[in-house]
Amino acid sequence: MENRELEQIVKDCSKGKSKAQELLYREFAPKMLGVCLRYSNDLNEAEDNLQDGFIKVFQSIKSYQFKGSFEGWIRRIMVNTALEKFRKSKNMQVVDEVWEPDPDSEPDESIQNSDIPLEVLLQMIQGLPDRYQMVFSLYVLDGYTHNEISEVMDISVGTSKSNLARGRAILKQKVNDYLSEKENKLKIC
Amino acid sequence: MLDENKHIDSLFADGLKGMSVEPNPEVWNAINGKMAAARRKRRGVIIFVSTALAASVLLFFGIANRSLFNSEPGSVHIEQLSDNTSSVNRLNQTETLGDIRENNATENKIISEKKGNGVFIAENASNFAKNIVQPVITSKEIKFEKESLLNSIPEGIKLLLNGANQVPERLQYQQAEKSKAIQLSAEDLIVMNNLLAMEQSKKDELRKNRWAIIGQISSAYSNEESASSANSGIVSFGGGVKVNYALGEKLALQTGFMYNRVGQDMGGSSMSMAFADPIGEGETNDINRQERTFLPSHTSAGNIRYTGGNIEDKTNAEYMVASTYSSSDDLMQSFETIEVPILLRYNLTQKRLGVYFSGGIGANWIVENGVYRTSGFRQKIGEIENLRTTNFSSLFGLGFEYQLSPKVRIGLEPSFKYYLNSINKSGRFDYKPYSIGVHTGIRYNF
Repeated sequence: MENRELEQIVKDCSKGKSKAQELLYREFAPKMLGVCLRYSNDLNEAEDNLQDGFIKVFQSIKSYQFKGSFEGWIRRIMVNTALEKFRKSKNMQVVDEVWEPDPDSEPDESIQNSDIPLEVLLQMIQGLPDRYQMVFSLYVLDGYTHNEISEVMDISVGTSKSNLARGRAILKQKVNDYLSEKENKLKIC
Repeated sequence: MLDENKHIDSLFADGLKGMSVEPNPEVWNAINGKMAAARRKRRGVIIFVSTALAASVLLFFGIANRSLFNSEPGSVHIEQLSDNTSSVNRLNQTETLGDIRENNATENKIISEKKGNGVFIAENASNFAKNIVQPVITSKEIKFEKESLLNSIPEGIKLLLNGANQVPERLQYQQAEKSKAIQLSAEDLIVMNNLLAMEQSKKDELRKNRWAIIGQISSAYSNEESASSANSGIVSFGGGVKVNYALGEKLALQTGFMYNRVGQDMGGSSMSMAFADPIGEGETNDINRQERTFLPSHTSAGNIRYTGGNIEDKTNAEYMVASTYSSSDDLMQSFETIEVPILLRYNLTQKRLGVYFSGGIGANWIVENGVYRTSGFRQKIGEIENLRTTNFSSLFGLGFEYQLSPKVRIGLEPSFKYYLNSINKSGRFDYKPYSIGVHTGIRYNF
């Protein structure tokens, strides 16, 4: 979609035109569902977040000043929607954790992206404990800093770092397990 | 260690950052439904606030008019015309007929000299008081959209990669538990979608029939509260067109244009105005009574400005002609108005037979004003002076509607209307007519 076209659609959306809203949704919904999936446990939860997120987008689109990426603006709203739900539904009493890396769980350096299907990667993230999943997604996939994470999740910077490290460790373990299992299957074949 | 972290981060980031998954079509339906509901709600609030504001302004003007112009009737006088019309005596309301006789002895002599050529315009509060006549639902057919039901079953997840060299893959959940959870959710979605479809169908029906046009004719009896028992009301016919906008299932807003007529039949006023023996001199008086007709200079609605060619105006003695009026002449005053009502209508029931209440305020513009002689044939002989062009009234009604088809209803509505302000600008006259009528009409929903 061209910038000019997008700008016109955004303007029409700010006037409440439903056709423009639908066009905007069709354009961005698949990518945003991809974002929501990273912050949810399953597809239903992700679609709920997508729905709530887009309603917020349409309600607050007048505040968009055409500065910066529009996709980034929507993405931010989706992440905030997921965070808001997370804060409401989850127990946020996270204690500071001290984490020491396990020397045996080092991943194979030769792992390539194509070795692990995307749905498996997604399942691995969704299988993390919620707070690790949130911190890992915010830090690794959406580029939040630990300071920002500590603000939006209302935790300390240390806890954010600790959660990230634990999340990474779990993921490393899962990756290794997956690859080992895959290797064994190949050997059997 | 840092490199390890970077590696695991990039493993997930490269794969998941550009992930696109086609959402279930129902997600958009739900978003669209919520946005439409929000728009309707916002529109409803705007309409409600506007209506409330308009009603408040009208009410304010009504009350202001009532308090500003609700004054005691002023001194009422008697005016007697002769060919020397400059000698008009004005007497206070408290003066008796005897006083009149004494005070007007001179004029009576003149009158007796001008036998049969004068028309008296007299005005006396007591005589005046005694003698002047004061004056729709929708089809229950619910259509489920096939698409919405079919779409309610999740199609699965399409995984598309952003990179040009990457082939989209179908995202499959391998864990049995998660698959089961998704299936259960799909069933829930179907139920939820059915409910949503029903709700949406109702809303669609309401939206389809939100507007209605109503044609009405009415017959009404009108009178004025301060009218004496000698006066009687008049029955008149009116009609007009209203537009109905449904704010919800129960509440609707109506406005339009209605033609109405209010007034009074002042039966025998001219006879009574010939207050028997104005001169108090036996035979001369008898002659006067036979040949002169007394007409009131005002009604309870205001002073009369006589305009008939053969009716003498008190200020134009040269036009005074022999009276063509007998003492049995009847007079009537009437005011024709165009009304713009703003009504709130509340439906008590909305089945084949619907019952509703309506109430509101109307702005009434007087488009025709006249005093008529009604004996024999109706002839306009004058009009009331100094009338307020725009007047406000309150309206109440209890209506019944019978549904002929999903779009068409016929109705009957007894209603009551009361003017909130006196229609005369002068403080001397406090004339607030009321009317009780029955509106019948037909309503078309669209």
